[in-house]
Amino acid sequence: MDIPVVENVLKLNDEVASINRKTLTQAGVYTVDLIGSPGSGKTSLLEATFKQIGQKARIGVLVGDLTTARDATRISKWCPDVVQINTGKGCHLDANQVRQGLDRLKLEELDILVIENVGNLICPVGFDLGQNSKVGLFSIAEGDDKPAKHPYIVQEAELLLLNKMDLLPHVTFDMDIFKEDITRINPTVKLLEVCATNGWINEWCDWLLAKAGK
Amino acid sequence: MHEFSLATSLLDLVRANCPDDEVLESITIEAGPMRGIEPQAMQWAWEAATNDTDLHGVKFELIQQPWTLHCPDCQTTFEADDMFTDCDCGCSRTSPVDCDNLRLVRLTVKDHANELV
Ligand SMILES: Nc1nc2c(ncn2[C@@H]2O[C@H](COP(=O)(O)OP(=O)(O)OP(=O)(O)O)[C@@H](O)[C@H]2O)c(=O)[nH]1
Ligand SMILES: [Mg+2]
Ligand SMILES: [Zn+2]
Repeated sequence: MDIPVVENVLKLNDEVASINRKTLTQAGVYTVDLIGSPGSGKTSLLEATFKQIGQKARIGVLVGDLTTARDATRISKWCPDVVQINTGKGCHLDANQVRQGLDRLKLEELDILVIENVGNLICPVGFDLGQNSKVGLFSIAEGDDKPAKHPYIVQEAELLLLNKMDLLPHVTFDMDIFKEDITRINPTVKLLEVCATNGWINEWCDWLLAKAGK
Repeated sequence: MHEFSLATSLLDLVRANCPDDEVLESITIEAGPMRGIEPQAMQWAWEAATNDTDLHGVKFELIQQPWTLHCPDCQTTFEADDMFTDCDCGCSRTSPVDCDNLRLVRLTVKDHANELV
């Protein structure tokens, strides 16, 4: 005998995410879930962001990492408000892990929270954490076909960043294909070109400050 | 491996939706193509997650949905096997819509046919 049901598989996660969203909104914190492949430059982008606008806005960071504390150590040079979340075997952060991370931050003192998700372009996308927006980070070194192969982040993101622009002359990368695929999947998403290691991230910083009302 | 965490999330949801006095035989979930779920990995994950639990032996069925694409020119919505499929009207700016479903849609429980009424 069949019993029909219609239940979102991630219902429990989404409920905790709503609580996170409420907590963060009440504390006046603008929250970004930063999603990108391993090595696309998520931590480098954060380091450059602190260098550039660390004085203008108070930014906290939650870092998801499989087993190490290396990213948290890198970021702690710039910011006292960094919390490391080890996901063990988990390939993404879930709302409950973020909930526990939030308990360790002084949210009232923050303007912005960036959650560096585990390096992965698929799994993290489907898990709501309670963020205001998802930002997808691609890089030149990964190749121009990544949006087509990972459409979920393209569709869900409010902003996409293309990092390592300094490598463009050295790599086969068709910018037209990259952009056409993105537009086809998500005609309204914004795309900014950046270079984290050269500090060429002005547009990203402006976007972030505007979102946080700074 | 997100299949395993999906399987774990499913356990609670299945328990919450299955009436206490029924014997569960199988569950069915529906997944949109955006979710990138690998059927074999999902099958293994379900078996691993239910092993040593009250749900051990419950079968798992995955219904993979096709892409649903919307055409901005003629406003039709159609299904396709490939995300980049042009519309019949010739438009090549079709975009995916509602392709990220992930739902528990059915519980199949043991029939009561042979029981006395
Ligand atoms: N040339 C170049 N290299 C970069 C740029 N941004 C980051 N890198 C390099 O890319 C490598 C990986 O950078 P990370 O910032 O650690 O990348 P990540 O995304 O945080 O990596 P995981 O957290 O391990 O997933 C490092 O060697 C960086 O120096 C860039 O704009 N240009
Ligand atoms: Mg990192
Ligand atoms: Zn059409």
